[in-house]
Amino acid sequence: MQPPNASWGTIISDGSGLLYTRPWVSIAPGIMIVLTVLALNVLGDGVRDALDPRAKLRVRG
Amino acid sequence: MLTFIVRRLLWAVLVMFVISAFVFVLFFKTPGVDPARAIAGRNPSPQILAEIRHQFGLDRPFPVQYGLMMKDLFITRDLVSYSNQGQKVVPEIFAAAPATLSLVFGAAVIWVVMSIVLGIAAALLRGTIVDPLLMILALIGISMPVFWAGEVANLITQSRFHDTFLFSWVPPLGYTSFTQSPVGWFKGLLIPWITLSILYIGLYARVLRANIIETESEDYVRTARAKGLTERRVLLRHTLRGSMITYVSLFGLDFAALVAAGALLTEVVFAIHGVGFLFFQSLGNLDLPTIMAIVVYGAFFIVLANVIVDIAYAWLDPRVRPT
Repeated sequence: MQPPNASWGTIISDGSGLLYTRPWVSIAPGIMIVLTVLALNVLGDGVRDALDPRAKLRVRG
Repeated sequence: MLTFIVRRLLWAVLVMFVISAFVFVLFFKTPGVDPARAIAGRNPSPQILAEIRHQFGLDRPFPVQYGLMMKDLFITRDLVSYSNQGQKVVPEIFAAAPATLSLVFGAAVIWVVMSIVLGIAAALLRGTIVDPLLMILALIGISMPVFWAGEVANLITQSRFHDTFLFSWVPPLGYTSFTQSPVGWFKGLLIPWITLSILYIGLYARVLRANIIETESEDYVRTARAKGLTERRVLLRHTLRGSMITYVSLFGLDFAALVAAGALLTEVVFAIHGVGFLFFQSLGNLDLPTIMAIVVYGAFFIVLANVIVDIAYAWLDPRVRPT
């Protein structure tokens, strides 16, 4: 990633210099990463449960 | 047993050769990467570039360069860094290793204990609210990028809450060696240990919970219950032992990857000058000798971990023991 392009990761790394004075520069993109990865993990678990033929517990639908 | 060891050693040599050759080729074939330019600094003249190429052997054929570097690394052991003039690479790595080993060992202790406790708790309390709560916590732990978690930990312990009784004991960032001051070593590493282990606690607790639930339905667990063993003995000697197989293989590989400079982000965030920190710097400087040496060092640990995992397998699971 080269400036002026930005990614959540580069914003965090840019914000690390401001960590003690302006912490939200680093915290905000980090929270976005956590939420995204969390959502993908939950989706992955859901797909696995839905496709697992051995799963005994099925939600009726 | 002897053939096993010999075969393993040959395998290790092959793996190290393949990895080092791959990294070497990758380094020179990456577009826009010119080691001579990286050594020369800003705006070098073509003459200086040519001189540097000649001095570092960069104008020689590819296989010769590779061979020379491997000779310096393994036989004469006096491989010299490109970017840090005169710095010998092998002693530099050995000097950095204790910091990395301290970081990874401590984190491993925390993550093994915590993940086993949480995994068992979640599996046993299935059907109650505790199990989904623990698993959501685990997922959040898995989802946090380690460099960000480290920064947040620094913000809390070094700045915002540093003056409260909670974190006033936290020393400034950096690594104190154990021989210098055991207490300082422990204090300085506690926050990095916790930060590094969060991801693995979540991951391993989930794996262990799933495996315990799967093992519970095995015939040998029913047999153990039918024999009249106490629930505690069934859990520890039969269910848990059968569930640890995946766990152990995961652990061996993750642990080795971390020792092999895999904890570099944690080391950078907490200013721990270990092998990962060195790797991070040498990647930034295109310092090929250091990169190669660390890659070979890392491959060694990963091959070693594979051997240990195989042995642990046989110990845990009688089914895979050679007869």
